[in-house]
Amino acid sequence: MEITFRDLKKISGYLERGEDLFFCDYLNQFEGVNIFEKFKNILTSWDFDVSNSIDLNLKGKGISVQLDYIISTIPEYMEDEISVKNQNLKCNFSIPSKFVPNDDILPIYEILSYIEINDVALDLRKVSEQEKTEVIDKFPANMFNLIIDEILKTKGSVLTFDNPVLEDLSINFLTNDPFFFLKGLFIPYGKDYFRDITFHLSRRIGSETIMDSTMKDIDFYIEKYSEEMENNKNDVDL
Amino acid sequence: METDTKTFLEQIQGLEQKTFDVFSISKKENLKCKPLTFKQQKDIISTVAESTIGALKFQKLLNEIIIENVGENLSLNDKTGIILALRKESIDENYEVGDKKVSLDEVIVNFNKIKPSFSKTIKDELEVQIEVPTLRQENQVLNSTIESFKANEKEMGKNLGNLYTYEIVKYVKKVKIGDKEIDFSEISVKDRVSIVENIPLSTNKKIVDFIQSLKSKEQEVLKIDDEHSIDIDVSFFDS
Repeated sequence: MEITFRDLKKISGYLERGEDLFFCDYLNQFEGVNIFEKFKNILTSWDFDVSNSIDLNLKGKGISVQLDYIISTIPEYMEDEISVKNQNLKCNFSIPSKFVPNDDILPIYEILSYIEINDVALDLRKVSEQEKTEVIDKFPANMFNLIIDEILKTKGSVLTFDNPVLEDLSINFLTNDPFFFLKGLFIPYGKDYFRDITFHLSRRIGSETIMDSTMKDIDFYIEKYSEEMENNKNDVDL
Repeated sequence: METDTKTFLEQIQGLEQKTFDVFSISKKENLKCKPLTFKQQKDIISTVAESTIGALKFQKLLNEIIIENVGENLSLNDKTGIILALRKESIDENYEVGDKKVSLDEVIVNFNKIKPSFSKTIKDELEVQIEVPTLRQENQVLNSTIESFKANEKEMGKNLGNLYTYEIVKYVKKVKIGDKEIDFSEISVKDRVSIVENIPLSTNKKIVDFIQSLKSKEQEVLKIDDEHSIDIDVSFFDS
């Protein structure tokens, strides 16, 4: 799926207004049976259409990392179900199938897929959202705390990097890490940036063309426009 | 054995039924209390996002949880003791304060030794009966406080001043001038605030002294050392 100027402009508006639901709807349009696959496809499209690098803040310092390096280290497949067991309680967790706006550390309603108490089990993938919420809300808090500990300790659903520069970067796909990472990717493009681009380029290029262009196209047009301006300036000086 | 939602909820109900004992210092007896649920803990933690109003909602939520989990509308005197016990049973019996690990068991034992005060009559130019409210009575005032804060969101100074007034309002039961008496339970919280704002400063000071004497007994129990004490806030419930 192509990421266009129009997409980034719209998303910038959503993020500015705190409309995370619409942002999630956009992310969910990307291919993938779960958010891990969608995440990989979003980064691949970003690398192709927007920018070859991303800026990260690690160990208190801002660094620029090549996206193709990050994409190359993302595995083909990630373990998408983990089990937590404590005395008479057992839970299975899966990487969510879609992005959902959530301010909690854990999108618990999205990741919990199976529960067993005293040998009585419920497959949460087979019940309605309302029933799932009702069941989860009634869990004892101490079980929830155990779940958080186990999920934060698990390695199977976590993306890490061997490169020492990126050793502090980890993305746990059973938490809201991927959502916050992608939010950080899209958020720097603010309203004024889009206004500037549209204002200057629309003198040479139709607005629909601008809207349907990728950011790499836009960068190309800006470079050409700048060269032209420079040449015109030189002609005047002569 | 896989089952349907209804049967499964009955299993969870079974977990909820595993109650534990809490001591009511106002009733001087043990009561049964259900442990915190995931939703209750989640709701507590979510109040952190709303700054001052969040702190008020946090107090209101604690009262609602105690009423729900103990099944009684207890005195405000019991609140801290039950909250300590809920935290101990539902999350962890140890709590970190600074670099120290505190056993909540010991804190609860000390809290249960408190001899609570319940009421007092102040006789000045007017007569004011003050009484420690129940949890529901506190919530009635908290609801009004929250609404007032929302209506005057940008006036932080005014809101903080009002907080002081609302705190006094919680404890006033009756006001008598001459042969005219007003029972606060029969008027709105807004009207109560108007009356308290017109009570002489000297009388209000005595009410505040009473409230402070209650709180200082609790603060003594929650104190760990000269620099540290247990703060019953959202982080107290965050594992």
